[in-house]
Amino acid sequence: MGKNRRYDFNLILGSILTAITTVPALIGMIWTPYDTHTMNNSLKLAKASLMHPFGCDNFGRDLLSRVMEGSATTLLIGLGTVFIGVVIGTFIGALTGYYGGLVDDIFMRFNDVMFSFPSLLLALVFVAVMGSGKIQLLFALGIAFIPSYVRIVRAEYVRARNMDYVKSAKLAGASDMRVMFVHILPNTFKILLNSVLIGFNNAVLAEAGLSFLGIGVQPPDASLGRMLSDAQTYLFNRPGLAIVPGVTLIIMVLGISLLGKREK
Amino acid sequence: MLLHVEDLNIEFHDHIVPETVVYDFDLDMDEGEIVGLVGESGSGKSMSALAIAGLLSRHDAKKRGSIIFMGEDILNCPRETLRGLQGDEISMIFQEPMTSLNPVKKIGWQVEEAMRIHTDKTPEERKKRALEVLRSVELNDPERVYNSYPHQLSGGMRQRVMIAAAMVNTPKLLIADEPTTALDVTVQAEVVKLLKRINREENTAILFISHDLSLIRQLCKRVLVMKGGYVVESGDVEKIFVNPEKDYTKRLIDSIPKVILDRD
Amino acid sequence: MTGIIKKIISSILTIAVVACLVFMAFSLIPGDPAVAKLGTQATPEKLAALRETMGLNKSVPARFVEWIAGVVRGDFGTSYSYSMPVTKLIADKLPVTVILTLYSFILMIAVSVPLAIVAARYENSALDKTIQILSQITMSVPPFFGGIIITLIFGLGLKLFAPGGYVSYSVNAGRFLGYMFWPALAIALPKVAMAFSLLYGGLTTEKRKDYARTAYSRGNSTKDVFYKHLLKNACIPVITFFGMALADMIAGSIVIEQVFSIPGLGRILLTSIQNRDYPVVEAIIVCIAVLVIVSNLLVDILYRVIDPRIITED
Repeated sequence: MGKNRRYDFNLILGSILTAITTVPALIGMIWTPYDTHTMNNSLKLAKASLMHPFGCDNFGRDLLSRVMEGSATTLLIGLGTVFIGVVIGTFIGALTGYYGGLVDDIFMRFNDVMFSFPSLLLALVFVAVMGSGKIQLLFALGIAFIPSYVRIVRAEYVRARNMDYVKSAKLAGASDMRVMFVHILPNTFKILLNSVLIGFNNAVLAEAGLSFLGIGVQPPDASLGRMLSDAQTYLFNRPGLAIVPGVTLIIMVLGISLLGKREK
Repeated sequence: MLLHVEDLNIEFHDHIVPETVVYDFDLDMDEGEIVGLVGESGSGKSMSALAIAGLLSRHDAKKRGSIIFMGEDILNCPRETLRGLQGDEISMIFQEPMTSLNPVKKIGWQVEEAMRIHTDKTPEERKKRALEVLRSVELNDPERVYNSYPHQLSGGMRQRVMIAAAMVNTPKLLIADEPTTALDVTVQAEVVKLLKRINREENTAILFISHDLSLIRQLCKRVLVMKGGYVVESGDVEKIFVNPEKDYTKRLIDSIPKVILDRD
Repeated sequence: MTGIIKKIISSILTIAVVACLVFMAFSLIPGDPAVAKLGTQATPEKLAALRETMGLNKSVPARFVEWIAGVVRGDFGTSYSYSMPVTKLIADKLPVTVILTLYSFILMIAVSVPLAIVAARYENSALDKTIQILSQITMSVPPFFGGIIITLIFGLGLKLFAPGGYVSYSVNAGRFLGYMFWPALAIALPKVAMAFSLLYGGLTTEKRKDYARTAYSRGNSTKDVFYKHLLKNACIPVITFFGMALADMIAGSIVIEQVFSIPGLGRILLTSIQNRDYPVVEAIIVCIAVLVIVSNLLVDILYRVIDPRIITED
């Protein structure tokens, strides 16, 4: 009894926290209270006011609008990364796990090496090769996160390979492709959902990390990581410039991880 | 008198309605005596034994009555006093010798533990005593056993190790909670013989708990029969065997395979 | 024993493969480093001369052989932008990153173990619940924001350290370690939270096992039961996480160097990426790869030391 209540608590709080960050981010994709690129010297480092609830940054841009745009960027890159990782990872994991053999062995050895590297570092290498920018960042992170999905999906396919429902589907004359993607795939969704949530969080943190380092999203585009790095100069006088995007990031990650906890 | 238990009642509070598992349990034991405690699972025999050994310290277990061991009130004495007795004057062995030993520690370390806690012996003296006690429980090649891990030994050997570890400080009372249930029949007989010899040579009193009356008959003079938390019958083993007062005891006797009875 | 030797050999092979991949990746990038250095206005003669000295006029396979031969001797070539040997450039920066990583790792262990033991010992108490909630929040704090918060509270607010006041280990080891505590804490905090929840799960499972009862029956105090009996068992499933955490901390230290103005591998890696100074980037990536692979190897050995059941399976 007590257990069920705790699960619900995680779900409710997780949903609230996720909504707090994603709703403004979604709005931020089409509308922000102020233009996010126009600089205004008279509002430079302005304090919080009714007009600008979080104040303005060092270029006089409205912080709320910047955070909305930054969250939108982070959200889109996070979703895109997960999408690339899941689609390619599922495909590779399904083929190697289903067929096994030497190709599987070689692929897995390679995958394990990739997996043992922190995804932030992998993404850093890809950015170093491909150059920085939103699209490059999306692909760099997407590729960096493939190995983790390959691992999960492959394990499921190895397990499913010898299951009765797969054997009977084969006996009924289903092609390998059909068995793989019509019969087995839906059974991986439950496990995938959890790793998608974790993966999304890791992608959000990695994006913020790379943008913080200045090799992710490039100015004048807003990104939570970039805002944090710019705010460091004014940390003593205007700590809010760092705290607002930082706390937004924490709430976003915390909300999703609470939702993921419920899935267990 | 070594042990005096009077009016022991044990109640559990882990459910909404408190659940009593032991009612009005009385037991007196003299030094060097062997007493049997028999009953089916859930009859309260293990709970009584754990309470006597001072191991029923769960917050949700409420104990009333008194347990006096060597003049100390087990239920009400300070934790330090109790710890001073445990492993020194009262030892306990359990049903599952595999899970009752720490899987990642060497046998020697585990056998020596009670000495490290209760004596000032030097490492060399401890090792000498450990090997001596391992030899006395009839383990061949004690030096090899000393340097082994639990998973490298057979079930019977593990139970001998448990007995050795319990006997290392020659306690006044050994509580054996179903020590042979998990073992093969031939090994069972050997362990019972070993306990008998220990009792004779070290004058250690033994509280032997089992659901198997035939084993009790081989080892004990006096027996307590428990059912549903109550002691339903007690007295001389042979008397109870020949002329059981309660139907329950009769059924326990009838459940013993005839072959074993004939052999006795 | 043969298991460990096999692991060492496969680790060396992995390092070799990673080194090859890194070189290939950077050789295939379009763009001419010589043009990048001199600018598009440079005369063709000057560019040709520069390509000659940079070794760019040779074919890719020839450069590869040369590069590998150098790497084996610990020579990573010459930096395009700093015009000095790469090895010399990173030699005194590598220890900073390694120390910061190890410092964070030690902090993680030193904080998460006692915390998990206290919470598991007083399971379901108010203390346990408080630690649980704090850990859930801490888990979501990325190191660079954690670093900013630490700077704000302990540096600017409480004045426990001077932000930006990095002291090199060669100048004053004590003050170096004192300053490095804060960035190490920032890296360690989210990992502390994760290690805590894994250890807590392990300890609460282990404390219900029979051998814990045996330990109590020998007269152990609760503290001794946890530290001497349960901890080692609870650690076994967490070791994999420790390995991944160690690798993650290398990444973390590269990021956190920017927050605390520490001149480690991170800063030089970032400027080299921006300057397209590939010899430096390649060298640092290979160094990091070696660190990651070595830390994986150490974890594997640690597994064998802690869990006796693995040795007999070999």
